[in-house]
Amino acid sequence: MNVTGEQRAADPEEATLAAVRSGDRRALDDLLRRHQPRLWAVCRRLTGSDADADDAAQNALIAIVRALPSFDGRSRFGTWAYRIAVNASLDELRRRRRRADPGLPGDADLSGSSGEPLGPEPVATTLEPESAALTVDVDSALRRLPPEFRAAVVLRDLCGLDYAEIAEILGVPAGTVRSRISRGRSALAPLLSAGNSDNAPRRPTSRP
Amino acid sequence: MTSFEPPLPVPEDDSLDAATSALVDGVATPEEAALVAASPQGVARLAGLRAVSEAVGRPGPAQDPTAAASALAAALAAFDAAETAETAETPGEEREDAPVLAPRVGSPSSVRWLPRLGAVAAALVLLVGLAVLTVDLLGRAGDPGTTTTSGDVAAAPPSPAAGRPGQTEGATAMARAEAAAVIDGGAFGNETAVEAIALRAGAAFDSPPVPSPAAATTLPADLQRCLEAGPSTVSEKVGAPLYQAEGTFQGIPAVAIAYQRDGDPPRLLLVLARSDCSLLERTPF
Repeated sequence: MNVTGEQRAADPEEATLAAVRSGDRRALDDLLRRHQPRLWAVCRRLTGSDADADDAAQNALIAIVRALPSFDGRSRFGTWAYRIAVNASLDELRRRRRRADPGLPGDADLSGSSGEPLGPEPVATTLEPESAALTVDVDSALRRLPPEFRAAVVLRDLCGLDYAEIAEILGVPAGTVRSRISRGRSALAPLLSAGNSDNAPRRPTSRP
Repeated sequence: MTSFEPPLPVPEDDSLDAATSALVDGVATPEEAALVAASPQGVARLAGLRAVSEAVGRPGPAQDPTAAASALAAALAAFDAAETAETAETPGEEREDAPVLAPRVGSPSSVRWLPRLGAVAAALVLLVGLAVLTVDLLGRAGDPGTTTTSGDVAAAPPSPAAGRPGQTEGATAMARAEAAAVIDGGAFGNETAVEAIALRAGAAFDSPPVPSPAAATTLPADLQRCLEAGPSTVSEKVGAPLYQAEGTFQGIPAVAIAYQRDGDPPRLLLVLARSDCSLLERTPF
C-alpha cells in the first residue's frame, strides 16, 4: 500500500526513521526493538520452529539495517519490514530443505509463479494417540500448507494487513491474495475448527 | 508415535468460500454477504473460517530473550560496520546527508568496495602499528631483554589483555594491529562484531572469543587443522576465512571461524571443537 506525503507526515515513525538516516544508533535500536517481536512472530508462523525463526528474524533485522538507505517511504516501514521478514523466512525454509535433501530444487518465490514451489514442509510430529485426533496446533497445521498460502493467511490473520499490503509484500495481485487467503483458510478449517466437519473440503483440490 | 504429516490439500477457488472468507475480513460485497446468509452451509463455513482466522491470529510464544538480544546486537553491529566503512570511504571529508548505513544488500557497489576498504583500513592499522613498534624499539635500543622478534609479535595473542611478560607495548600494538586487520578483513567492523558473533552463537561462549593471530602459519596445529577442515563440515561452499578466534564454547575448547559465503547473509560462522574439529555451531550472518 502506497503512503501519501500527508500520511507520512502524520506517521510518528517517520521521525524515528529520519533520526536513523542521520546516523542515530539509539533511534535504530528503538526502531528495531519496536518491530522485532512482530517480525519474529511472522517468522515463527512461517518457518514453524523457534530456531529457524531466530535465524530468519536475525537475518531480516540485518537486511533491514543494510537496506534502510534504499527505503523510499512509498510503503509503510512496517509493511516493508514484513516483506523482508517473509523473504528471510522463505530463505530459511529453502536452507532447511537443502539441509534435509541437497538434491531438492530451492528456487521458488512466494508469488508462486516461477520455479518449483517449495511445497509444504514435511513435518515430523509426535502425538499421543488419545490426543492426536483433537489436538492439532496451529504451527503444525500451517507447516502443512504451501508457503504461498501460508504467508497470505499469516500476514492477514496474524499481522492484520489488508489485501493491498499483502499483495505488495508477496508481489502478486490483490485478487490472488484474496483467493489464497480463502483457499488457505478452507484448507486449514478441518484442522483448526475442531468439531466442525462441515468445513472439510469437498471440492476438487489442487496439490500445489 | 512419530509420523510425517501429509501436505494439506488446498481446495480450488469456490465462490461460497471466497464470499465467506471476505466476510471474515469485513470486505465482502452485499451480494457475497447475501450468498453466505442464504446458505446453511455458508453459515457453518463462516464459523469455521472465523475459527481459523482467530487461531492463526492468536499470539504464539515469545522469542527467547537471549536470541532476541543476539539478533539485535547483530543488526546493530551491521550498522556499526557500515558506518565504519562509510567513514573510511570519505576520509577527511564532511559528510552531508550521506547515508550512514551500508549500500543495499547485494548492490554491486558494496561488493566492489568492501574488499578495497578493508585493505585500506588494514594497511593503515598496520602502518600505525609499525610506527609504534619502531619508536618503541628505538627508545629501548641497547636493552636486549625488552626487544621482540617478528615471530613473537605474530604469535602474540591479540586480545586487549595482551602484554604478557617479555612483550613490549609496541609488540602488543603490533599484535593488536594484526588482529584488527583480520577482524576488519573487509567484512568485519569492530569489536562489536566480535561480541555479536559470540552472542549469535547462542551466547554459549563462556567468554567472548579472542581473535587469533593474523598469520595462519603461526596458529597452533589444532587451530590450523580446524581452519582447513571447517568447510568440509558444512554442505555449502564457503570462501576464504575472514576471521578466526579461540574460546570456550559451552565448556568445550573451540575455535570460531567466519567464512565468506555465496548467498544472503554473506558470512558463515562455524564453531568447531579444537579436539577433533567437529561442528558445534553453524550460524549464517
